[in-house]
Amino acid sequence: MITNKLQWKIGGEAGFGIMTTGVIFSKICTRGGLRTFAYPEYPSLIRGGHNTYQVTIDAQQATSQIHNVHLLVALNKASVTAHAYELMNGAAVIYDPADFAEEAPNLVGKEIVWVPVAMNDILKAKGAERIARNTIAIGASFGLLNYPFEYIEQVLKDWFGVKKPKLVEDNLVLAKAGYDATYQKYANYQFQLEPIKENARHMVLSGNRAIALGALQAGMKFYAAYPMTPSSDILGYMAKVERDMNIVVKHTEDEIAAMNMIIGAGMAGVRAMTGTSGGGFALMTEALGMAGMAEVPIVTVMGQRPGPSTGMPTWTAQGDLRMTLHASQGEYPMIVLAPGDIEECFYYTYKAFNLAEQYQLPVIILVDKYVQESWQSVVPFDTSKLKINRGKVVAQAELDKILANKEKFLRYKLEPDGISARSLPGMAGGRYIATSYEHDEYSTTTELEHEVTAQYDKRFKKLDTFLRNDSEAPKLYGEPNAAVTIVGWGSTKLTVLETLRLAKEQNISVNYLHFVQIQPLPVQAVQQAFANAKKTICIEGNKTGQLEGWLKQQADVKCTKSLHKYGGRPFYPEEILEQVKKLL
Amino acid sequence: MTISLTDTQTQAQPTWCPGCGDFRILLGIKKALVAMGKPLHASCIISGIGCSGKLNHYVNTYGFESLHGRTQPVMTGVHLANHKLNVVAVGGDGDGYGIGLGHLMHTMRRNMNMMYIVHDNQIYGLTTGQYSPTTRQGTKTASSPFGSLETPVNPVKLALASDGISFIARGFAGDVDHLYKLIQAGMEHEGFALIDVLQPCTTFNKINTYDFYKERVYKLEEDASFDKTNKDLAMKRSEEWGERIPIGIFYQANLPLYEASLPAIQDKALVEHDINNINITGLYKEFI
Repeated sequence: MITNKLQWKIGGEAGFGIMTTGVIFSKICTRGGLRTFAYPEYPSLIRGGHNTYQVTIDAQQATSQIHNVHLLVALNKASVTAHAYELMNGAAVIYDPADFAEEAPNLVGKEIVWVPVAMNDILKAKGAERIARNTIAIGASFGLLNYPFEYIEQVLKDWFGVKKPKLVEDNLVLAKAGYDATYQKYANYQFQLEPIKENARHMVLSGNRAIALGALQAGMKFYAAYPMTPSSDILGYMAKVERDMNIVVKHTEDEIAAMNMIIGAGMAGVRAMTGTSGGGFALMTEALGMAGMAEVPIVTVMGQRPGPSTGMPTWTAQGDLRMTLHASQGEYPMIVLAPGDIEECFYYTYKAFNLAEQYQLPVIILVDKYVQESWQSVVPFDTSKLKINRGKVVAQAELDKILANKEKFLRYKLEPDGISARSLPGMAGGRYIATSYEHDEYSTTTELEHEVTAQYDKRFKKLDTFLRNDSEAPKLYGEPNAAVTIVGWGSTKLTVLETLRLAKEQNISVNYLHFVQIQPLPVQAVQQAFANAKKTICIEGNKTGQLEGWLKQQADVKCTKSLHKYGGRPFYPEEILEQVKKLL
Repeated sequence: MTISLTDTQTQAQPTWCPGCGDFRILLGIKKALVAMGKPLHASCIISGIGCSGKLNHYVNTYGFESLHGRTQPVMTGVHLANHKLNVVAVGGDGDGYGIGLGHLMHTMRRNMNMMYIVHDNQIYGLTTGQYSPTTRQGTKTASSPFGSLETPVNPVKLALASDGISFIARGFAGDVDHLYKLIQAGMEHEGFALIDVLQPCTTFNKINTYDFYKERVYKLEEDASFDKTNKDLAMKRSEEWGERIPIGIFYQANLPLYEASLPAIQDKALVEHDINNINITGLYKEFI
């Protein structure tokens, strides 16, 4: 019997609550101290089409979907045919014989435990709607997995209780019917889940939600955005908590407005953020450069999906790194951070707000559909050590002195660290014009070469100061002297950490060099890391090796090999390990 | 607190052409600020790009010289961050009715307590004389050597059609006394105020000159048959352009303010919120 190590998958038509069912499934596991990682796939439509949601469960850590499926809930026949290749020997398929017969799907040569559950009949008997099939499926899944019903009960009560108590009752009856249909009825099924009571309780959270929480904790008071997958959920969540968290949320007429609004708010002294994807980001770039020129602190979530153009809206990619690094005309400093998992989404978003104000520049949170819309179980975030740093804002007393001496406040003063104190509209004596035009220390328009060059250099000095004081080296995961070092950025971390666990089981010597801080690149740390590495393989969700090229250009380091994927799907640990083995 | 015109001065030197209507609009804004009597640091003037974009450098208030066409969202951001400021945007007809028209429609819909002054000279001046959205049809310019083909935008009519904006006026740069009072009224109005200002461009527009307007403009407030609270009358007057061109307030109403429905800024401006003691743990519950 294999306990607490398996992957559950549910498949069915879009529009029938598969996503919700997946989150509920994760939570039921997490309530029992298990660790989960959940990855949804769905097409860009509202009804019809094929949706899946898969959850990997582990006793200690789950960070990635895997290839093998151990329990499949097939809400239609297509779910079996589409995922037959993922079903491993001994896997179970929960299905309704009224939908299709077990012989129909082609699973030649595989030993499958067929688990018929008359979901449609149960629905009819209880007078429930079609969407409630999901609840029966959850019950049947946990019954088959020998998992205590009490956790299902707890989660369903919390989930539906908020909305309607009647729904709790109905769903519990349906879940129990599913549970009873499978519980201890399949002795030949070799997988089970067992609660681990001593494990600390986790939250189940998506990257989008973690980003939102990080921003809220950082004192973001204004969120302006236009809906665009995969970042729309940040807007929806912010709007939902707008009143509880005492913030202002603006769904704007377009992304240009969103970016310009947060720049206005940032200039006026409020921590502000927007979120979008490549298409929207393209529209924002002119204003992004203005934030660079006028030195306005702002935070932007740039959620990648496959391009070019509309590409594939609901799938994942890492193809916008270069676009982000070079966004907007001219040259100006910005910071680009690519958090790699749900925890990093929280902590780096928090950090982004401090950095934006400390260095008075745009900070980009570069993520992708994979980390934004995957739901991972994480320890509730520890906020006790987080500290707000608002950077150099001139004190009114200081301005009063300037006024008394009949001097002028120099908003863009040439300071050795490149950071001039800023005043906020409303402060007496702090008058200046935030401007997209090149300007002198006072903020007056200038086209004099020596003044222009001085301001240009001043802006870039901020990056030197950042590199001295707040820069983070790429982090190495795993044993220090491994035979192969995987190099990656952003969400690749999720899959690679699972790869490292898989490698350990197979006694393969490999570690992972993870890049979050991509701009400015900590060049010396990168060179040191590459000097320490033996063979390297750079893994990226794009065709042209955008990080690999950036590392070469900035740090003059080369990778031994690379692995690219750009078909909209995330990497799988098995395929990464396969490539690592070729380097040994 | 009393402020004088001298207080509104800055050391920056205007770069406009001699006789440009922008000088008159600048003076109108300064006189309105003086008349309003609010400390100058409590005002913020947002500009776009174009000749008008330089204006805030010449007024001793805070300012944001932003991008071409983006004054409305930048102004909205500043206003939502600190709605206690007197927030004013200035821009040209190309900026506001061309590249920025989309933003303008939505900003009008929201009726926030802000003001927008459009320097409407019916031409692109800084780029040396191309036709603009308000150029009369058939006008020959650098980009329309055979005459412009489009029907011009009617800013007043467009604003009336938004159904959200609560103050719509037209001023004339050649009559600063009338203009500054309009601007003051717009600043003091609770809601979004649009003032379209007929602004002669002495270099590139040889049609809509000071004399052209002086012969034609009349003041709506001096016409007893007009009522600025009557939208139908305003709509009718918005179509008047030819022998007689109306200036003054076309429409003024008491409409709900967007920000009145934002609980977060009822007691304090957003910028006044303390962000050092935020506790998000209350939000964790739904994730467990």
